[in-house]
Amino acid sequence: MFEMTPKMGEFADVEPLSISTGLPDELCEIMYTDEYRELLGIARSLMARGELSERALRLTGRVIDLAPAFYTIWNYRFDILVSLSKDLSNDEKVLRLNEELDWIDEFTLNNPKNYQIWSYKQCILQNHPSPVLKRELPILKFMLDEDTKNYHVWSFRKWCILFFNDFSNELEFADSMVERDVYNNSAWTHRMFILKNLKPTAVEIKTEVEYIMRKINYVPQNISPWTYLRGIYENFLASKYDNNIVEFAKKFTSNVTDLDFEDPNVKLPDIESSYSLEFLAHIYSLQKTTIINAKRAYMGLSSKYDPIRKFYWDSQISRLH
Amino acid sequence: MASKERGTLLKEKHVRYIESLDKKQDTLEFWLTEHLRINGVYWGLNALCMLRSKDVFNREDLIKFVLGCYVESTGGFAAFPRHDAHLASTLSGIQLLKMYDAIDSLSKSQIDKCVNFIKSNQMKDGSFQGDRFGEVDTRFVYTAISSLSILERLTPEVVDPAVDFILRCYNFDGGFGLCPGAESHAAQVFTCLGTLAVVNRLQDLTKAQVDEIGWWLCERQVPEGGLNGRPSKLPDVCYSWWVLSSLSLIDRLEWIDFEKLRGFILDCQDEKRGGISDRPDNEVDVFHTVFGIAGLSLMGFEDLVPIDPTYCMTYDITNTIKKYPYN
Ligand SMILES: [Zn+2]
Repeated sequence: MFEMTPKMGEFADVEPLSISTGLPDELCEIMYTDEYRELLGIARSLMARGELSERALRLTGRVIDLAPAFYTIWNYRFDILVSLSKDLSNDEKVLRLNEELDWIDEFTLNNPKNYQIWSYKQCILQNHPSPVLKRELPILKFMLDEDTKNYHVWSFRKWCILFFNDFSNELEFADSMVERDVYNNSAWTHRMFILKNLKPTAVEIKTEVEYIMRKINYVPQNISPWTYLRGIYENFLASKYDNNIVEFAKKFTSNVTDLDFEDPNVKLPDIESSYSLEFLAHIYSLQKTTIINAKRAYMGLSSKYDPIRKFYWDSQISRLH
Repeated sequence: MASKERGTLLKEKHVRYIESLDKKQDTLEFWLTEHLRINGVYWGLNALCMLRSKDVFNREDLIKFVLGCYVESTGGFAAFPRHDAHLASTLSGIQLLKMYDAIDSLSKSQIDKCVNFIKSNQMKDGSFQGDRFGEVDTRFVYTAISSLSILERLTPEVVDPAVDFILRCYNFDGGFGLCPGAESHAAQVFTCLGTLAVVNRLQDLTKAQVDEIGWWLCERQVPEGGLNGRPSKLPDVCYSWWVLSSLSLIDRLEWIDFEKLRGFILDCQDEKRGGISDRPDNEVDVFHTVFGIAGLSLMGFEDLVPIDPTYCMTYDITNTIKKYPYN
């Protein structure tokens, strides 16, 4: 709480606008706390007269602290900032916007779930005379350390990388996130985003495949690296699956695709990874000579290894020919 | 709790729960959610429509509220009177008016201004920003295109670049993200497929893509029955809508195990006070209530009014929308 209400301080000359809507509809009749009512009343009054001042900027900060998702006040804050910095020299503008970035970072740390902040930050960076990626990396790392799959932080990170056109930290960063949680689909997706932009050489792709294989060896029943592996083959290797990768995938399937499914006494063994079986089934389905193996794999998935998607697997079987 | 009997949908309780929502005006959380109020009202009314209880809300009061959210200076709708207009609240406002067959309570020039507001937020690459503030998200493409469709004011100049943008958000794994390259997410899949469906362009997807999308979507069902929004995440009732509507749009709904999903949704009901939560035993809210019911409606359970997966409104309402392309 504040030591004194804003009305008593620098806003003594401002007549707060009523925040009730004037509509008879009871949906709009709202009980506000006194503090919020007073702050918002002043803010509305300043907005109505279009005041773009230092004190208005300070006020938006206080309203945002109370009601962070109130996007109207963010818009107002941005207008104020643009106006206050438009006649500044380049150096002064850098200082001013750096100050704003510091404020944003502190707000972000206190409101980790708020996502409006990221588009606000994009606007500040776009208006900044000399934005620096290095400045952004620590807070991004911190936010993802706290919430490793935060969709908006990952999306903002991608935006930043493209905005600064600097991919140099990214593979290492994505690896550190996979290292921390091998199930983190956001990190795996981020790797694909990087590779697609970096245009890797054949040698680099070979290294990448080995990287995936190590992660799968570590946890075979993990959908993300399997999907990613197939993505690498489709995007960088023209879907040419070599014997090496087939043998690798087979390791986790107890050779179930070699069993005779027509035999009524056949007993399906436990396998280490249904995703490896699915991966194999896809490869097998690409060639006439191995269609029978694909069919067995799908039958296994349908009946034992992933029965909740029975209708999907059955549809795959019916399309084999 | 293997012996626990799978319940039924507690329709009457859910109706009472939604009815109680606008009576909570003295609580802190009520005014902190002002920025979502018009969306909340739409979710509530939509749930009531499926439950055949539309009359629980007062039509005249609601229309007055929605018109109070119309921002004369920009032509969009705000989430609450005297907030700024935003594409997300604009769609909710238009949907609410449509649900009451009251689009004509806007004047011709108000509608024109609204159309201009929506179009003015389209970017060069075909995407839409939520407001002049610049947050780009496939969600806003859907809200923009769907709004224009309900107003029957789509044009190729708006539609074609939007479709191009949506197609660029398709990912290697068969899903769609919030912008090109962003991680696939079930809610984003819906906004992308929904956009294509509204403008009758689902056929722009290749057969192989549709199969991959179907795979990615049905892969969201976890063994316990619920659906998650991304791989290796927990299931959540709202994905019953995002995933099922998407599967329905590409005609692959049957790839989900209906009975198991139904069980998961029903387990998330507050059996005392009504309402549905994201996961069993969590606090209920109107968002998960409407999307849980919508999921059940799409699966044809509980004798609910059928919901249109393209518009997220019941068919009796969406049947009256003139569909694009106009001839
Ligand atoms: Zn949810």
